[in-house]
Amino acid sequence: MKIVAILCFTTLLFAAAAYASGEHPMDMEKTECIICHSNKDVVSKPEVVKEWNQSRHSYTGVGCGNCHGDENNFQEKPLKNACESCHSMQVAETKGNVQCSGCHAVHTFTVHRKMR
Amino acid sequence: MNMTRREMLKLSVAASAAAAVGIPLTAETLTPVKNSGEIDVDRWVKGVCRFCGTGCGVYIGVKANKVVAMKGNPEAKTNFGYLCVKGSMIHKFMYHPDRLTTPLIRNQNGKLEPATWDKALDLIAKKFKDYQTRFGKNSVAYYGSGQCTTEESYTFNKLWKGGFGSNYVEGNPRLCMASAVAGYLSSIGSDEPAGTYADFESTKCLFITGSNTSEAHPILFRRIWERKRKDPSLKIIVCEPRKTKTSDIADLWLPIDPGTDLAVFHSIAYEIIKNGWHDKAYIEKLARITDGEKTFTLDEYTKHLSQFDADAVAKMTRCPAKSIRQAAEWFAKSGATMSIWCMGLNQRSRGVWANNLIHNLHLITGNFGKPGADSFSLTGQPNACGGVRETGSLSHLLPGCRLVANPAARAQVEKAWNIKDGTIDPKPGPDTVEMFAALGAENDTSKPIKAIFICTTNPAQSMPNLPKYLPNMQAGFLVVADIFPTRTTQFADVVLPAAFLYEKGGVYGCSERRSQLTEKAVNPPGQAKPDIWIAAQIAKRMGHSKLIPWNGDDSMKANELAWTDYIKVTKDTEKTLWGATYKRLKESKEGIQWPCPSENHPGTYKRYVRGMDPVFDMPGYKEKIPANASQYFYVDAKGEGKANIFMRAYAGAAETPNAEYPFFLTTGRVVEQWHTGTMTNRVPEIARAHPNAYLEIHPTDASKLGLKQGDMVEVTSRRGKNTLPVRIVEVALPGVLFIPMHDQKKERMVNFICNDAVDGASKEPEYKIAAVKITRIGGPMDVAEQYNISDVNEKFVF
Amino acid sequence: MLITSSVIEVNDGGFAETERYLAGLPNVEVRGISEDKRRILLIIETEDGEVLEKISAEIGKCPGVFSLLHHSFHFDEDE
Repeated sequence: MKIVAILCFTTLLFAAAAYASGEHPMDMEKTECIICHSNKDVVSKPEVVKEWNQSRHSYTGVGCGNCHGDENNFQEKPLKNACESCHSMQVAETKGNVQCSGCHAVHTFTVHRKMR
Repeated sequence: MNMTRREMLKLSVAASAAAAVGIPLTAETLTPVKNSGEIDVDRWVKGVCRFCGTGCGVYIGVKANKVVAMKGNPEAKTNFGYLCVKGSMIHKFMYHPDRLTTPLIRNQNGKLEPATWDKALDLIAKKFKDYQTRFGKNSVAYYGSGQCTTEESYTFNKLWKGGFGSNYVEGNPRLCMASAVAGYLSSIGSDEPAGTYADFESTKCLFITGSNTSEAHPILFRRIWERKRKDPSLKIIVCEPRKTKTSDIADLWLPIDPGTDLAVFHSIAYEIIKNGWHDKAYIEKLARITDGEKTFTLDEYTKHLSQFDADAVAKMTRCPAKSIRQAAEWFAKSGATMSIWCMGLNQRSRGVWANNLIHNLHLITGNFGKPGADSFSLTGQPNACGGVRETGSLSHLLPGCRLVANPAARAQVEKAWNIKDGTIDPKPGPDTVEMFAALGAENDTSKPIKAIFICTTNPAQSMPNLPKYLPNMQAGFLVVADIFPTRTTQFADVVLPAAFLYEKGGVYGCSERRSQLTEKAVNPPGQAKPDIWIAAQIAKRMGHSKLIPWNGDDSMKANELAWTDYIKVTKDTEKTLWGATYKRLKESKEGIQWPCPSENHPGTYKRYVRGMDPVFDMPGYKEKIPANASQYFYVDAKGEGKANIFMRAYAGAAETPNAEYPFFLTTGRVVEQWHTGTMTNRVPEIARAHPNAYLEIHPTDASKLGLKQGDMVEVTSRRGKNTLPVRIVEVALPGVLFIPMHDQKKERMVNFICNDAVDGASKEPEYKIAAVKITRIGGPMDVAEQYNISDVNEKFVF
Repeated sequence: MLITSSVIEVNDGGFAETERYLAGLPNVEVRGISEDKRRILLIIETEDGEVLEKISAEIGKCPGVFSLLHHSFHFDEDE
């Protein structure tokens, strides 16, 4: 029996033209990232700031800009080059094109994301 | 969309899905493909981070002859591959459009105009010679930096002391580490720690004071935190006037009013001895109790300390007596205790005493000479140790941290430099504060210093009590070498575009006596030149090319010649780096810790311990060390191999709150910004996080003054004022305010407020404590200016 | 441009046939195979949803395929 079912699962990712050119989707002016990103009226996932605050990164000052860049070099989903500056050994051991965030849950960065 | 980016997207999407549904990716997907997201470089060049005294090992990523990325060196023994936010973003300011790329000379109309190197150097040499002729050899001074390479500092020091015969050589470590230096010299006999960072991994009790390690040395904080995570039995005591993130990992928190920590340290010592927790045998064998002149018995010392009973001390500072007693017990009984401190103890009018009292605690408990036990002073700058302290580039020192006042040291250095006997002046020059006080115009007879060469530092923003010293900098003949326009270049008569560290290479020596080499990775932009070249060209024009023969264009060759010259001078001293040849430093992934007397010596983990410290077998020392001594403080002035437990009095800060100025103000850094912000504030990610300085204040104080978050206030001391937005935070202690030092905007430069009262012995100013008042001037304003001085001809109106 | 990640559930014994069939389809890349060879992860690259539907229908015609489920969609514009 062949069933062809087209179902939308999670993460419907719309990439606006802005993402394509590495720009933050809206004008950031001089606002700090966490101001908007901890406000549920502005973003859909304000819990990321809380998650980051629980992570080791927040303890050593590795903030939003380290991985996501700034307004003009914005990376919504950083690739492993963002991790390489501090975790070069682990990145070198990463198989091929698998990205760090594939297994290490952002933004808490626990050792392993739950695998099914 | 190009193929590379499309492929990256597909791979990213595939990886996400694979992780979510639990299907392994295929071998083709797993085959390493270019542009998989790893940093794309032509090569990685070994080096050291440009910033703090931790000395993180790095690799500098070069593509098409530009630095495009940074990564940590996993084999470095300092950081194990980790970098903080600043070090990981160095490449983001190296090519900022504000980089100085051509020499500039100030014309008759007060404007800086481009000039050739020959014209600029000829002018400098002419002016220096003219001043030296008319006003004496000491009318031309040098002010260097703990951020110059060792080779550069050594070269300038040699030129001034060996060429001009002038000790008018100072450096910004006077403003940050001088009290630590004097503390080590008076307590232990020799500068710099006995142990290393490796003691973090074996200590049983860590005493952190005068340091916001989490922000000022984040990679060391990471190391401490990791240790605590793996071994929760490690006791951490934090003693601070601000409840920073550092205290989050503390088992015991000792809050103090600024300046009263000396009483707490005395009190801890008293509790230790009163309860019999001290190490009598150690004290007898390896220490004496002294006030610098006379020696005292333990009973006399205990009687002196009795005024610092914990209950009495708790009345003069906000630290509970119970906490002092607990700290004393943990410190004494842990088995191996390590202390770390930084500017909170050093930048004080009683900084040397503060350092002595920490060393005292280690000496009375025998917490020296074993793994995990050490009194470890954290150095702020990347090369204050290696470049300034060890090369002797301060007004009273010679290479090897020896004194100009010592005839034997002068004779040895004169011989090594092949200069006439008597060239080196036996009289120390002025310290930094005195130097800038004595700087002025030609026709000002009250100002004997007419010209100053300022290298890799920004005193027009970093000197305390700016209103006093800015007029002098404006009046004197200033030559400034830097990579960006700064407050100091705004007063310069000649601005020299300098090469950045990765554009010239060189050695940095960090807090733990470790010298590490950075290879030159790329060429400097425009006409920028390495400082060592600049020094050598000035030397040549002033008739000292024999003294400084390394005047070629190849900076790494010049560096090697200077380094080899330097380690020759100090080869027979207890700070010997004779075994750290340039070749070895180039090959080594982890650098070399002195003393290192020979090429086959691995470097020294722990000083003053036989079997670990090669000085025990060095001629000139071994004859004086008893054969049965397993530990020996061989630089003891009295020749007894003992360290000094200093019987110090108590004194608070030079300036404390009163009715008119009711608040304590302290200052410091934040993790993202370095010093005066000239580099880090040009990184968009960092500037966004810290676009301006602010006043940190406790909610209780804010409420009493009717202040809401973001309100604008004037903060005023007896010297000057700042206009800042308020940041109400729980981490502040009531009555204690904080302003970070990185803002270049005049209204928010905290050094208009800071106190230039100095420690009598070290001459280091008391940046950390001032008395201020606050006046609310209005509601929130947008001051998130991310301000940088970009136009070299922008005027500094003060 | 639409990049879709999809998971095929394979009929008993249908893996080899499905693999061969998929190799003949344009725009379809096999990116993952489960250890028991019951599931295949695909990346499908199409201009738009209409083309995706056509390709999905094609995949459905393969006798080895039990079901095709799309996991995520990534819309993007050419530079």
